[in-house]
Amino acid sequence: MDQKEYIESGVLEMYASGGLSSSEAREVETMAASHPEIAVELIKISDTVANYASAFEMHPRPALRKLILDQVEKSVQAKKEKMLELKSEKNQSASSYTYKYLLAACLASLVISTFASYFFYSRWSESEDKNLTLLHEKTTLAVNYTQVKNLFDKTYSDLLIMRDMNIKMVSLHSFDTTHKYEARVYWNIRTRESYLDVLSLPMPQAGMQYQLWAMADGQPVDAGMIDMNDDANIHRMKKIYDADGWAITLEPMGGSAVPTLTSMMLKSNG
Amino acid sequence: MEILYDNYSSALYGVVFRIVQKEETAEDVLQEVFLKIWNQFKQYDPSKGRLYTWMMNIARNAAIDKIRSREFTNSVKNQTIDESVHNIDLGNGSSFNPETIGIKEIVGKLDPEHREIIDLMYFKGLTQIEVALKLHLPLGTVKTRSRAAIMKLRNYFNTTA
Repeated sequence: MDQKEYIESGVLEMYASGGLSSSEAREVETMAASHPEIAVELIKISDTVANYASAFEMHPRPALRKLILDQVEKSVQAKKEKMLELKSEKNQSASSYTYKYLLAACLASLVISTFASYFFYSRWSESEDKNLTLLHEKTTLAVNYTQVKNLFDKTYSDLLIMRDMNIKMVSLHSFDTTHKYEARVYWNIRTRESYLDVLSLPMPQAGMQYQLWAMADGQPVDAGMIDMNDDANIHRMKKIYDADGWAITLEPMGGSAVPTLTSMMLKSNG
Repeated sequence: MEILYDNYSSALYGVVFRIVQKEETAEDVLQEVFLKIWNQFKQYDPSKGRLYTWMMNIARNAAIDKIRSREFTNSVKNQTIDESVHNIDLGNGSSFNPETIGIKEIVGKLDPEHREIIDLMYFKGLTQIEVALKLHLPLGTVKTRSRAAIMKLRNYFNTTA
């Protein structure tokens, strides 16, 4: 059916007058939607029917005006309130989502920090152990160093004594030639300091002590007692102003004013 | 909304009243109509016709829905269509606005048998088939007559506009 025929069939007038069933009316609407010419015709016919209907117009009671306008206003307000409610509900649910996310984030960071704490604690105790070990090693090293340093200092000072240009070294040998006891005297002829290096001598019996003597013009001069318990290599002795020979005798503890010649252990060659 | 009411309430009320035949019901329906107009205003598509026609259709359909609801049908079931149409045509003449197109002027333009068909469909909510059965006419005649009636009205409105 072409458009003209469709228009002339009277179906549009039926539609505009409300004489079509709902399925027939839908057909007309479909036709109008796809055929502009039919749509234009339908609008014209509908307007005509509306104009015709308006010929029956009646004024409603004047009181109805306020009633209806109030009712519409109320519905507008109700709608607005509903919208606001929906909006606030939305916001609320949004904020509760935010809280949920925050809570989840908090829990996650708690778990992470717990693991981190455990990890760092174990690392810390490991480090503490290592630190103690290192501290112990350091103490040991420090002790060793001190020992070495002391030994070095002593050796160095001994060396300084021996290397002094003014030092005169005198060797002492066993007076009794059956023994091979030996000692050396270092005598600084400028400072007059005398030193003794005991190379080999037996430990004296209890209550006895070795005594060093300097011989000047045949006269013995006390040069000091020898402490055999002192582990120094070079024993500092008394200042001697004149000496042409040296001897060591065994004397009672504390020494004697005059050497006991019968107990002479060592003597110099001079 | 006030502007809409002031401009269109008479036309809408006229249609509604002519359909429901009772002042109390017509007032209720008119209120519904304005609420519908307000709530469905966004759905009004200017390309599909005038605002006036759109509102008249809302009013007509709301009123037809009302008389089809059982509650209403029960209360007016004793009134026959012929009687009610007769009542309207004779009575309440003073309610019509004398400044607008008078009902008699339009009626004079239409053959009574043509007008009857339009009124049965538009104001009584009968379908074309129901009209044909009621008037003992073939469906084709119903279509031809209503088309002729509306063509006449179109000419009339075009010349007066």
